[in-house]
Amino acid sequence: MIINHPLLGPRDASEFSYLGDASLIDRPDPEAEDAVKEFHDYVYLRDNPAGEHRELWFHEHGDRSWLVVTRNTLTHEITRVELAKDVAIARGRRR
Amino acid sequence: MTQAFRLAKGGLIDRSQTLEFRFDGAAYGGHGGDTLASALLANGVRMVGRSFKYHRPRGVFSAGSEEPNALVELRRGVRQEPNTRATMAELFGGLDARSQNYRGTLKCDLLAVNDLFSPFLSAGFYYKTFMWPKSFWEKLYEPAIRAAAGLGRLSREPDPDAYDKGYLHCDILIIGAGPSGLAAALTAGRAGVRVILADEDFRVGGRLNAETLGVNGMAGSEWADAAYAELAAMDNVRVMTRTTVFGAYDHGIYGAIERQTDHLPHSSGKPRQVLWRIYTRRAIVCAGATERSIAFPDNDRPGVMLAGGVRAYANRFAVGSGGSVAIFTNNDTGWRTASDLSAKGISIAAIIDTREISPLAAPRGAAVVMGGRVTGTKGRHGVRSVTLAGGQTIECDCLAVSGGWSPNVHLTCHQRGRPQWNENIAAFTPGGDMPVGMRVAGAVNGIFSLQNCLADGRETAVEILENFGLNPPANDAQTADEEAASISAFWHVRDRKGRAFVDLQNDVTVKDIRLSHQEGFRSVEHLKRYTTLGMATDQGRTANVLGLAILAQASGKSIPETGTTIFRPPYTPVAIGAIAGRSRGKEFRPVRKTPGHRWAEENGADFVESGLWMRAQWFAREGETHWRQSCDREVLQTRSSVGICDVTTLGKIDIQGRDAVEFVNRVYSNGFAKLPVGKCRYGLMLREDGLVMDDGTTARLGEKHFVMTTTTANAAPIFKHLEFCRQCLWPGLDVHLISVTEQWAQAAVAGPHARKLLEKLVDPDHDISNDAFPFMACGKISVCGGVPARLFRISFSGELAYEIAVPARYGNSLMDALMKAGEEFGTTPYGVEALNVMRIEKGHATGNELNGQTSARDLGLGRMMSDRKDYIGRVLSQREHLVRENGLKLVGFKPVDEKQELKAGAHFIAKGKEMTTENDEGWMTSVAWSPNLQTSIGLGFIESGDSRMGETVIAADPLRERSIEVEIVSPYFVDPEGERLRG
Amino acid sequence: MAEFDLIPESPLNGLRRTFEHIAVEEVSGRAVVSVAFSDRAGLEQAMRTNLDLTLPFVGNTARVETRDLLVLSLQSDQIFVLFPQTGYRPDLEIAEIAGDHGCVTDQSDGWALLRVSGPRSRAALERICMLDLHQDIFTVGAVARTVMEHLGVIIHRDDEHSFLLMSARSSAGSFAHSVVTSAENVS
Repeated sequence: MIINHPLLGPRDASEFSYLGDASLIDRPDPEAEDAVKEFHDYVYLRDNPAGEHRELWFHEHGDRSWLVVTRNTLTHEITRVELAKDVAIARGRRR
Repeated sequence: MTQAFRLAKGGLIDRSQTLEFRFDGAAYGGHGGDTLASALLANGVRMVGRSFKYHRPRGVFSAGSEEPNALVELRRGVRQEPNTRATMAELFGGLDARSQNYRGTLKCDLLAVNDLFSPFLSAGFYYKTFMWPKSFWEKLYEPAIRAAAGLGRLSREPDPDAYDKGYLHCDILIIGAGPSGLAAALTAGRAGVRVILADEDFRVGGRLNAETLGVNGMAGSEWADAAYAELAAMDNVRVMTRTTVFGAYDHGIYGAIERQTDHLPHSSGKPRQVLWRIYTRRAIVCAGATERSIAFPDNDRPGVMLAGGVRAYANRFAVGSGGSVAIFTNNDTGWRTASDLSAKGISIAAIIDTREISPLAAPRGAAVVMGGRVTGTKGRHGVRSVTLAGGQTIECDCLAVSGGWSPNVHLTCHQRGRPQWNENIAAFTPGGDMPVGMRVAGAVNGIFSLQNCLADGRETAVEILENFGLNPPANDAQTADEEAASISAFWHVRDRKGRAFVDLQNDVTVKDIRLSHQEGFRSVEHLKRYTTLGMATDQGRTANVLGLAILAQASGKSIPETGTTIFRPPYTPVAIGAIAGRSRGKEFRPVRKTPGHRWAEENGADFVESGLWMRAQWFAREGETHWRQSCDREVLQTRSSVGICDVTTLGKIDIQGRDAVEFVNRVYSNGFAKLPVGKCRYGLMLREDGLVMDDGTTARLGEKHFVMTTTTANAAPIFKHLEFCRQCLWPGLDVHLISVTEQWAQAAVAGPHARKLLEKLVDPDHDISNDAFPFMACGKISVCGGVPARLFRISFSGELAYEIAVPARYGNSLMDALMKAGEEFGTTPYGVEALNVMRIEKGHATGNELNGQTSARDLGLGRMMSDRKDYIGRVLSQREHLVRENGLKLVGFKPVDEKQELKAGAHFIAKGKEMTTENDEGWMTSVAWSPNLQTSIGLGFIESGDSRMGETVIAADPLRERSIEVEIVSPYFVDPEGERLRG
Repeated sequence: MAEFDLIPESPLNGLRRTFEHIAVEEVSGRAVVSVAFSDRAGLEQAMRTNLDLTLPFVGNTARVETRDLLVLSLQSDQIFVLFPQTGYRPDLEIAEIAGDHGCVTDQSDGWALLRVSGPRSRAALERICMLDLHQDIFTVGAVARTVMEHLGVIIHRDDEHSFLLMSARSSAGSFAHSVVTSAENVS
């Protein structure tokens, strides 16, 4: 597999390590009233789509950036690669 | 040594070079440019092996990588390789090969008796025959089957050859250097794009070498040579012969195996084969087509060969596959064999064509039987005659058969693509769902005329170039002689009963396929597994389509309705050694050594692998014969004087930035916000699920600068986790992480004399007295006249202790200096065994306790979960189960009978209760012999352990059949008040 | 002079091997200092003012010939600076240049530096390096962080037939072995 890194261009997947669903970026508000339930879902519940999947990859043997890779789980086609930091900021994460 | 079947002239062989070789012990001669198969045929060796199941005599069947029969053990001794296709083995002087799969001799095989029992050895005979009595399976059937199974023999020695791998990149990978591949490569190469042209053969040209058709007014092979010369001279083209592209993988990646020294007598220490990973933008599969047989009774005798192979042996190798050749065909290419052979003076006994109307003129003297069918062959170790449907007998010593051509669609199907049936050529061609970036050209596309193959190769390259936005070169079309290639499907002869083979290597007959269908194994995938059709090392390349056609006939379905099995890599067999490459023995994975490794060696260290690291376990002194002696001495000496230990392997992460403190405070469960500069703190890190992930000491070296330590094993995972927090959770924090594990060599100096020892090395302007540098102090200092160092007053052993770090280049020298400076105190080096004993004596947790299933409360560290801040894992650490009152607690254990030894892994059961899972109260995590207490001690988790001090329970160890009484005690076995480490 | 002297050692003990058209040799005496930054503009200004150097983008390098200084841009927020090591604290020299626009860390002891040069150097590296090292793709001056034989490696092309490789000190022996084996296998 090849991941087209947004800053570095195409790199072999063996430079990367995998984490899982990109929803892990959306860490729930720990102060919310239903925080326990939200965290439970955040930690344990994942979609397992047959098709497009947004997932986190770490460029461990590269520039150490976290990426959000949109990959089709049926064909392995990768349609989009973004810096996870940009995705996190776009989703309202700051400090 | 006479090559009786070598033709007087012609062929792409080097007659000036005579190569001697041996087959089954006998000496023969061949020429440069021969394969083992062509050289054997040249010498009239027709029978080269025995078949898998029935042990029937078999001869060379084809002239290519599809060969099902001519499998030999190549080379002798440790380099013996079984099941090598003689058709692919390039001849070299001194080659030594043996036939395989017989007991006795090749000509007189004791297991040929299987052939007589063939009525019982039909498809599925295993499942039917060896069912009863049950007890016979293990004692009789299985050993007998195992002894009879398999083809060639391994040397049973480790493979002495070296293998390598590598990575290549190109714009266009062209797979196959036949006419279409060469045409495509010329067009692409001339346009300047980066091209790799790979072919499994040792010379380019494909069927141009096997045919007499000309290109651009030259002989086909001459044109191929000229094309090769032009391509080889281009900087942007890499021509790789002896290279099989065996698999198509995701995103344009292809696997290829290059045989670098297999054609040489010796590998001379160089890699025998190289496994290439080829990254491509586009690939053109020009893999050609494979001829298939026709099923008729006794169609497996030596001398029955594919017509294309017979043609190749005559044209390329100047070898007559027989003196008198009969041809059985359902298509025009069989006729070409007749005309080519006849032109070389080989007599054509007959042309038997299943079609009614003669398409072409037969060579003079050849009998022509249209609408004919071969119903049998005769000859014990090779064909002597064939019988036709009308009862006519034709004398011949070779029967050249052509049942049509099957495009080599394999690579196009490696990502689950399905080929489609093409009625015009009675064969499968690639379907639309090929791997991304892949194109096909030439025969693999179902295009069988040479002119059209050349054009298809060129046009495919042009299309790709245009797609790249490049101008294709002008006027580079090739012209070739015309040829006829029409076919009328004909699969098997039904005029007479008798064994008609479909899969020659696995001995699958027409009857087996019918039986499979009759017994309900009707899906093509079931057929394959029930009959083993296509499951041999040749993967049924000459057999599969024929098998499908027969199944289709049996089921009354069409061939496309019947479908094909799935093609998977590899296209042809790949040696396991090549897949392992260099990763063998000690080179299986890299080794990490600390800067003080040599010092440890010089001090008698015994090393243990810890991840990739080599760590000293203990340092044996003269007279010590058991590791425990060394370990006990190291512990006692450290506790009474001073010991030093290399702790470089702990992960070290520099955390810097304006928000460094905020970041550290969020990733640890305990508070770091108020940690002053110049102090360290033990930190506990949870996972988001609330369980403990790792622990370590973090020091504040500056307002905006921390250095965090992790456990050795977790250094990389923790770095990854912290980067996740930094980039994905809190992208707005100004914080940076830099791994400095490699930068600093670090040593623990522990024991009552630790300070006195260190004072001898630390430069005088740094005060490390207890007042100036108390427990948990840290700082940047210098040692030995200016060498920068970091000093941490932390203790894992429970003694007065420091960890001192210097830049790695001084690491070995620092250990030497510590030893030298410590001579007056009787300083000892200590290893991880002594470290472990001392931490158990102090009740410190390590990996055995932080096993990913335990909470901070379990560890007795509940107070380290701050309630004044959010941190990773906080919310879920408050879950009901994790905060229950009667939860597990880490406590100490001692045997009631102090002579007993504790064992880690034992489970705690209340006295008098049964040893059941329901009564399980916890488990022992770590044990050690305490030389200080002179007893075995342990740490473990037990329910409500902290309120059960003094209670006696059973440490049950049913696996090792020992259960002993143990007492629950405080985990602080030595210096429970911690006075020493503050001293 | 202190009572105990610490003697520095290079990670590969000055390894040097030559093969037909390939040389493999340890590079020593270079300081390696990383600068991590959040404020690119500020650091860029500081580098321009103090070094007359334009901060390169990821995958590129910049040189200051007069100081024999090389900047490798490896991450969007981190660079490595290589220069001759003269004292104990090369990080302070860079901290002076970067001011408070970057977090400076001395990594001089964490890396083994190896130069592979000669006309067959690319052929040797093909055996262990997944990156496309064609001179039109991985041009002179390019730098990348990748993996070779399970080990993290920084690779920089400093001439058509010369590559500077940096890998972790602790595994430098294994790394050098894999590079030397590659050279042997292609020569």
